[in-house]
Amino acid sequence: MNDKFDPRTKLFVVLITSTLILVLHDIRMMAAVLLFQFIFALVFKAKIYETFYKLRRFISILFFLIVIQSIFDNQGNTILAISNITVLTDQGIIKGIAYIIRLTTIIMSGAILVTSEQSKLIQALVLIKVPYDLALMSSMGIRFLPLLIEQMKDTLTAIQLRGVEIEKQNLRDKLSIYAYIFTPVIVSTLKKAKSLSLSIEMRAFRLYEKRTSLVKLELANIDYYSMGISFVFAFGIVLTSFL
Amino acid sequence: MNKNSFIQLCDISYKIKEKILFEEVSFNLNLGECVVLVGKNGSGKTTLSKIIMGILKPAFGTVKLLDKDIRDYSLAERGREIGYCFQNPEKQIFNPTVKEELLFYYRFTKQKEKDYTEITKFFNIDHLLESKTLTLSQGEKQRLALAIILMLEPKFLILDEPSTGLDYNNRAQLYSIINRLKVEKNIGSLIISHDKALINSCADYIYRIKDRGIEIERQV
Repeated sequence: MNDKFDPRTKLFVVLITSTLILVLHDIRMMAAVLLFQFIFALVFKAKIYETFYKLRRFISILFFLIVIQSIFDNQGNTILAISNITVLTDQGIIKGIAYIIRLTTIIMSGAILVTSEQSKLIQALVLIKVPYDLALMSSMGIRFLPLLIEQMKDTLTAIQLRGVEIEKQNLRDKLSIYAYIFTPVIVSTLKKAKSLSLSIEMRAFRLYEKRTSLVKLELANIDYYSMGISFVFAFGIVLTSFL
Repeated sequence: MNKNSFIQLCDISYKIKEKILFEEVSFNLNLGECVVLVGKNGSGKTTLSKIIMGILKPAFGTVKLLDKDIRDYSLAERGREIGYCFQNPEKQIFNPTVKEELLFYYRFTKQKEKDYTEITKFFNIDHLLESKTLTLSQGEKQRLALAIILMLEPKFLILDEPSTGLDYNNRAQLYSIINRLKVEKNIGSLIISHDKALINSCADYIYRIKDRGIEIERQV
């Protein structure tokens, strides 16, 4: 874990970049925000490559979304049409790319946040006045995400080991097979949530009004500089885009 | 190669991050024989079983199924030859009812539905056909998991901790099932277990994971 930076700095950078990426519409500005976040992800030593490598299976779905975006968006010049049905337009491609940039930023935000230890992240959220219960729940959510992905992969393997060739199925059957993945995942998630809540109660959660913490976070100069740079960058982007 | 050799592991090496789990491990798994794989917690028993199934790729070496690299078979083809039972049977139960679970394979293949009467009686789940899979007990889930993999008539079984969560009677039933499959149908098996009673009742060989390798011990 990289503890050089305070988790609040990471939260600040993530908050600024993910907010900007949602409100911006100009693709060049969005690309600038993505680049800015990428540089900070490198500085925070986020595992960018590993994160995207794990999501490689979804790349084809992303490109599929660009095409879908184009089919339902009639604006712009037609690039590809099949018997009067517009398949690709230049505006559709731009919107598709914007969608990919937004998604990449959100994924990278997650990769940045998991570089902090869970206890420090909770403490940082508490210090910025997020109720402790909410902070604990969100950090647990981050922790359980890889386990859910693992469970989905195992179920998909189990389905194939049952002798079913997914590749050879038609689209309807393929979708129907993928729907089967969710039953064991939802069941195990509910079971985990139930046993977790029980174990938390058993450990006298909320026994005292005020919680003490072993972790004490202090902002260093490097944190102030990072937040300052992020603020100036955001200010510049807002000025250029909206004024 | 032994005339009964079904699976061959040739110089398998595997590491997770920087930790080497196996170094040049080689052994054969034969039809009609029951091998129990033992080892300390975290020694790599489940990992080895997943390597054998081709779910995990070894750093070096090959796993051969009937003299052909296992990864040349699709997962579905491997599943038809080797029945793999996960440590947690819930991972392989995803249909709403027991009956739908048993017929899952036939729903997505053009093959005629197989009669499940014999198999459900064999596993004592014939009275549960219309039951919801979510409401089954651990023992029933374990037996259902075994029944669904045997519906494909595999020649070999890999069972990961099959006796976990089973009571005394269910365990005895499991040992009897493994022995009957071995004797009556010549089905080979690799069972990951720490259950001494299972070792005593079923094992022909004990494969012990030790010092990144395998020690083979014949069970008398």
